[in-house]
Amino acid sequence: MNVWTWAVDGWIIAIGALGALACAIPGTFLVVRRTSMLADAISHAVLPGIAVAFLLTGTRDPFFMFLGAATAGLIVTLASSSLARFARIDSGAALGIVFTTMFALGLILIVQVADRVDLDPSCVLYGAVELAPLDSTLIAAIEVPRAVLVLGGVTLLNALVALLFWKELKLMAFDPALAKTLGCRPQLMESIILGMAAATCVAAFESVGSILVVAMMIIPAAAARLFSDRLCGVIVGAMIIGIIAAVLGHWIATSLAPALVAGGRDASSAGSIAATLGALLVLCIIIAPRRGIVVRLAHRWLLTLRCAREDALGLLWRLDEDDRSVDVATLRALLVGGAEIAPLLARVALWSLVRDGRIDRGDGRATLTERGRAEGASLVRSHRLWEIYLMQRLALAKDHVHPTAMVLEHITDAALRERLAKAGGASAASSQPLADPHGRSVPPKTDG
Amino acid sequence: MTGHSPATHHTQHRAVGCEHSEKSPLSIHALTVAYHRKPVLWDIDLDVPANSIVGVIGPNGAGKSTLLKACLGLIPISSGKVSVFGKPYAQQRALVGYVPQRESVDWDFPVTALEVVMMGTFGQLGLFHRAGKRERAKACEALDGVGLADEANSQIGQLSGGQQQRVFLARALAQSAQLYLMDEPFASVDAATEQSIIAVLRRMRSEGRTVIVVHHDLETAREFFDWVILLNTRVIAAGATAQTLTHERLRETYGGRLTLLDEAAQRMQKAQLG
Repeated sequence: MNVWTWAVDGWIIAIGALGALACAIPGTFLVVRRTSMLADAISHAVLPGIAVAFLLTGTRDPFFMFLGAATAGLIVTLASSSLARFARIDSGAALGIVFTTMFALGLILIVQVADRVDLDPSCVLYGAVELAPLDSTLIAAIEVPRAVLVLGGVTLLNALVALLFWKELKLMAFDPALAKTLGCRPQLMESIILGMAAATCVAAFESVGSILVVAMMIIPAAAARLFSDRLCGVIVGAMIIGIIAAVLGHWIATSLAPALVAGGRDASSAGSIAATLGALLVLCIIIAPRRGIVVRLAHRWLLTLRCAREDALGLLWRLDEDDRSVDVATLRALLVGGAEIAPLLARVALWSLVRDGRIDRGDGRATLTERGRAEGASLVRSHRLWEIYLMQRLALAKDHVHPTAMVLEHITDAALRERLAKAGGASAASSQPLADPHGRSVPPKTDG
Repeated sequence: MTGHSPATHHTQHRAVGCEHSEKSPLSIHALTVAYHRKPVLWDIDLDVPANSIVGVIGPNGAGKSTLLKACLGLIPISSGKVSVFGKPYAQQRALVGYVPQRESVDWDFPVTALEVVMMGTFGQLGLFHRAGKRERAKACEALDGVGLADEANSQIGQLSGGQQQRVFLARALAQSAQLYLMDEPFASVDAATEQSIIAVLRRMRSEGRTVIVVHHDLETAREFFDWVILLNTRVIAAGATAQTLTHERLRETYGGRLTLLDEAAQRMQKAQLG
């Protein structure tokens, strides 16, 4: 276990966090427009752009790097769209062809260049955030890593662009056709988003690498989408998730990984940050409100419980109708046997019905309280009205209506029930209680 | 009757040498549109009457949506001219509202109903101007106008299909245009929604606006529209509903496909015989 030295680890985390902030804005737009693949394409395609810019100028000046990368980004979009159009190749496949080809070209160039100067291919691909603090400049008596300045600049730039063009970007992302009729120039806005993505890729390639930057763009936005239904909410959420991943990922790389693996070497921080992002996404999928697995499972279980409770009340009401009296154990056995309710669920349902005063279990017998009787009657009323309806309107056979009514009764509220009664009662004498297909009378209205 | 509507935009500028009605909200002259060089709309000539609800009716692939998109400059036109209140569309953007097909957008997009409606006001805002209280109030009013005030803060994906359609309608209302082009606003909505949508369109008409609606259902067409355009890659007929929506005209509109099918059937018959 290493102890963090803030002059090094602090800067590394700052670089990771700034990378996440910079990526959140273009990343969110790419994700909500379902064009995440573009992040992949741009990040790969900037490689030859960077290499060519480096070959031509001989410097690693961010301005020339960006110029090269932006040109490469432009070539990718143009080449893939014309490939799709003229060679009749599916647009996704066209994008895949162009960016992999350009990436391969970039690899060849980078390796060629690398022999002569300090542009390390593996650094370009995987990033070397650990080395970033070494390359620093003096600002106000503080040694600030160049990567912090570059990423900070891009973050500010992205934020500024997003603020200035917020309504145009949002409109274009949601409805390009309307944007065009309102004079918002969707193509220009599209280029702005791609430009932001390209600038971010260039800024990030030194620190997190040209491949892992894809994780930073896409994963936080995809995870934040699970928590927010607003575009700005998704961006802010993506930033927060990205920052958490930067801190957690670096901690895993420097403290957890060396402790776990014999040899005690630090793992790659950029790699750990990206892997952490993946893990965080899985966590979000599990715990997210409304869309999360836990919430959905709980929701389904509550629904099953409600149905079981209603079935129990209905069953007890029917037994009552036949003047049969049962104890709780028999009632549970009937629920498990007749209504095919899982034993544990039946137990919980009956326990909760006794607890909230719908079933009374005095002297060993299970009897309905007044409240329980009213609810049981409502359920049976729904059930029998549905049976009548299904017989009359769908012409189902008498022995086929019961199972369907068993399902429909649980989704029938008072309003629907009375509409059913009206539909079924039209053919019967109004004063007489209705009779279901099995000759049982429909219990009268108990609510309202 | 038209009140404050189109006339005010024309008084200074009288179009010269235009044989089409200058008053017409939408005037189309010799419009031809092609997709991949294959013409899908042939030589369209139309003058839509002001202050009316107009139906565009025709079979699938007749070019109904294409007609709207061509008028709005969303797809290039091969030849011809489109004018809105006597001037080219490009100068009259602010007067024209568009309601695209519901399927044209991603309803999973993270925006609320109110935000979508506010988008209708963006055309009136300059670059760098953010939507403020006035736009919000306008959007709320528009949402209220289609009976969706309670859903203002719902994410649009949680709304039913009919509600989504009404959100689009509210967005058009917030645009405060004079001419509206709507692509199938009645598609796959229930009867109640249909009634509430037509009520909104009638209210727009009573305010002097003109609404052009791509429509599928022939049964309701007679009730909904003052004027109809029967389209099947060309204009079969256009005029007041009662005189235009006749059996013969409909047969002509929808018959193009039938004659081809008849020919195919004949060929099949021949092949069997031979």
